Amino acid sequence: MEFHKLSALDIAEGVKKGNWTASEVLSAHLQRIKKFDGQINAVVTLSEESADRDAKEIDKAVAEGRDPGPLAGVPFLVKDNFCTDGIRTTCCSKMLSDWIPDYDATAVKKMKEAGAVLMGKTNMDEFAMGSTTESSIFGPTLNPRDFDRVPGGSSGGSAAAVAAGFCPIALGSDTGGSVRQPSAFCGVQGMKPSYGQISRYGVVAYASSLDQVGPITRNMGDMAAVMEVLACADPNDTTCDSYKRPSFSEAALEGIKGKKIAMLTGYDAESMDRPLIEAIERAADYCRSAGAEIVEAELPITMKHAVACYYMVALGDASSKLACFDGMRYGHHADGRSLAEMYKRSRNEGFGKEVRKRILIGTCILTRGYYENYYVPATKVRQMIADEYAELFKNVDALICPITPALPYKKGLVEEDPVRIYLGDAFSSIANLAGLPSISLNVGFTEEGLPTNVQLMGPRFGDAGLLAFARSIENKAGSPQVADIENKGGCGE
Amino acid sequence: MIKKMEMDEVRLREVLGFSCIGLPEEEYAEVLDRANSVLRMCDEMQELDSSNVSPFEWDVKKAPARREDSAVAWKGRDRFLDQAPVREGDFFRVPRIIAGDDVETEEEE
Repeated sequence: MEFHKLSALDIAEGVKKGNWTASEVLSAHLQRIKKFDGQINAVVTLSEESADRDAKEIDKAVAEGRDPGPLAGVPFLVKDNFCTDGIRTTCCSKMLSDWIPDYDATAVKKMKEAGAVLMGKTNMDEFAMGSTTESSIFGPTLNPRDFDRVPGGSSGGSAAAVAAGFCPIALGSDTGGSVRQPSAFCGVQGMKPSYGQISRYGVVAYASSLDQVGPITRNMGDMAAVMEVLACADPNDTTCDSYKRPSFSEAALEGIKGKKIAMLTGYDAESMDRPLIEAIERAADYCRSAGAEIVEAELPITMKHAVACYYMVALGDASSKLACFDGMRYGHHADGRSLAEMYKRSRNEGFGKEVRKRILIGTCILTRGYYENYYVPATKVRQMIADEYAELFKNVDALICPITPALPYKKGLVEEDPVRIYLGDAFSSIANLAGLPSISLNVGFTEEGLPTNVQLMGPRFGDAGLLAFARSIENKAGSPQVADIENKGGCGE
Repeated sequence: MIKKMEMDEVRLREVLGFSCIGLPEEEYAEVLDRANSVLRMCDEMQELDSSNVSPFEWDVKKAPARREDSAVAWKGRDRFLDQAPVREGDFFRVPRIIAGDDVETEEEE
């Protein structure tokens, strides 16, 4: 049995029916990671012992006739910024290279309670600051679809792992596209739920007012199942809304006949990679054939100011959030003759170059003069962007637009042209600014085997309805297959 | 109306102190270039009249759940102390903070 090609729901069904055991499924996935991860470097820590123990517990529950949970025996990986009890959590930074939390992030805990088996941690840009997964202390991750290209970031290890068939589900965090852009680059499905939908308790923050936990899968059925597990109130996260969630799995099965979908216009389509424009047209056609009405929409404030607004908010947040790393309570420590010198040496040695730059720019933005002239106006523009979307969603049910203006970048671009990388966040960061649910959906591959994709967005807390749109398109486009990693990348086995 | 600003070396030196980060002087130009690229990207926000707009805040559908006001049992003191960068017996070792030589702040490098 080629377990690595199965969906999460198929694996769980087989475990529950006794067709195979959770231990067999785990063993097959661990073998695949050990055989192929040397090529792409998606996994930074494997927790075989605890995974083996957890898988045996699931098998025991099945043998005793107990309910092992909706994700029984499904192996999963999480980005290395999720706290994991007894397993090191490094944020892929020297600052936390030896740090071992003594509790699980709520999202990890919920997955385990649902019967999923945690295998380990995935690579990421240091402290989630990047779009290429090249700034990790563990070295870069490569794109399993094409080893000469980056997997995107910052959750590049999670997206690459799902694409490579190391696991059917991985979790990432998304501050400005960090789940969806790597999902797009690696040819898998990624979702950033509404702000307040999933608890961030135990996830190391980059920018707290933007961060959200997001699942990565190879199909929308699995995505809905994970959302059902993760979305809930959490007293440990006061930004997590306590409204009663609908059934995401049931909602995903609903059709989109009679629904109205807006296609975003008014952006510079000429400067985008052509296959991505064609992908949007293709997705719109799929929606039409499923009975939806397509209209056009312009969002002038968003398209002109979202990136600038995003960087003001994100860097300002980052500067204050990362102030907690002082070398005293946990994390990297360097001696100093004075308190000030100890802080400075610990932070200099602990943080990488990109993180230090972002903290410096963020700190500048929060200082006298810059705060009044840049940061405060950005928070007002953020409200105007949120208002623009609220107005749009009074008239339409969903929005289709690009998630990234370019196909996966060749390696090394971040050093050559960092501002171009920043501009790559133009479409993805909007959902974070306005707190909207957003899905990066694969809609096929180019002739060279590179993934093409679209972004779907919906009103805040309209996550369930958005899953229905994504599933309708996926039904026509097909869900992406595991990358042909045995033969150095490609669109599928 | 937003005033266009630049980050210069003087402000960079201040910011290095505020953020407790050191930077070799040969890297100043690179950081200033990046910071000013970001600021130039943001200058276009000047075109928007946001004088009647309030700063962004999240709206809540239903108030977040709250923790019970009761003690939570953790896994023991040693698990915290094991994470201490510098441990001395049952204590986190930290630098002396009330001392004359600790008044080396932003200027030192």
